[in-house]
Amino acid sequence: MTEERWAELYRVEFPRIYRALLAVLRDRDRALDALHDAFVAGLRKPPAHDADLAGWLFVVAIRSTRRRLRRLPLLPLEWVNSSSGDDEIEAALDRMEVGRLLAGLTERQRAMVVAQFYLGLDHREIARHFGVKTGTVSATLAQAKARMRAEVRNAS
Amino acid sequence: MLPELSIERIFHRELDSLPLPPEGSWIPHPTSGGRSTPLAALVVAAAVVLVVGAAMTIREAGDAAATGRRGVNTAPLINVPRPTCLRGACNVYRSDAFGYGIVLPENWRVAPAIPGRPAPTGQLDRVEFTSQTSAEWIHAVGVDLVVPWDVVVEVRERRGGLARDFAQADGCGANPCVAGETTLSQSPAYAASWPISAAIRMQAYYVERGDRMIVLRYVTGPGSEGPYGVSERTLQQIVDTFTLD
Repeated sequence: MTEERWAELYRVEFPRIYRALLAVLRDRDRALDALHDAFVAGLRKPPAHDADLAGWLFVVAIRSTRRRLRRLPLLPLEWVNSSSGDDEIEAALDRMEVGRLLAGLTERQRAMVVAQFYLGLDHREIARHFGVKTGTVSATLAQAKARMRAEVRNAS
Repeated sequence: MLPELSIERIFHRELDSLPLPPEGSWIPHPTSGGRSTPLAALVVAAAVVLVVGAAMTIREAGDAAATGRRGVNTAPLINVPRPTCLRGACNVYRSDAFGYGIVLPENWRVAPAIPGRPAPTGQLDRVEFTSQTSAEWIHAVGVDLVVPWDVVVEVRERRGGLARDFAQADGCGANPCVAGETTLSQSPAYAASWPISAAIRMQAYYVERGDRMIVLRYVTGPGSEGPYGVSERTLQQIVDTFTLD
């Protein structure tokens, strides 16, 4: 794949993947950094098939955020609790039904839920992209749905 | 069961309303994608050189603790650098030019630069982190170049010097000094602590990094607590988060 073709495909997918990352990471800087990393990774070694592009970009971006986190030591708990995120996006997501449901999930659960319900990946595709077994995806999504159901019950 | 088709529709309806960044920022470099990778690498390298050069030119210097100089002009300052935001928080500072990161408590910030303050010979970079507002910090630095309860990270040229040599030059040698080997970011480091006055004490860490020396230091006192409840434990926690690439 040429660089021009890669940039063109990336631009087409950018809005959807960026919003998916916002829903998972709840932070514009992290979402943009992660997508930039995915773009650069694709320049070096693009995905094998154009058809996999959305899932590929999404998962490479998610992995990139984890690598960035690993480069830093763990925060003392009191700092984590007092750290300020992206208030504007947090507020926007909290106004949304989806945002409120996702807020109660772990980041990994959010990533798989968004991959399924927003990016339209099935369990097998999610498993392949995330490098886990299909059963793991099913279990993670089942736990996530259970939490979301509980959130709906609490809200009503 | 959740009605999954409805959920999918809700996901699209709601998430599609999230704002996008300006299109010019979608691709990491100012390129259409047609730029070759080697050329892009050159552009990045050139940018790094420019950043380092600019930092060397404009960064205020003054190793306050080491020199003890006073009477610095403290004109109001602008262009306060903002920390890089990572981890969903805006209190993580990364220096890509010098390959380190440090985590700060929520209300901490990068202290303003002091224009016209020359960098000591061999100093490549200096960033001071403070819990005080810019106005408070300028007042504090006007009283004394040493601002207690701040954390300073410096990058200096090693010129063959060892951590111990740097510590001694900074003041460890001339004062009753407690020093020893330790680790910082899993790298061997030399820790030194010496009194600046009866009530003020310097704590410094030196990490040899190729042809550079990374120095982290803070000053405590007088008393056991600084502004906004900063204690030595706070400062030590900050130092403990220091990470080298």
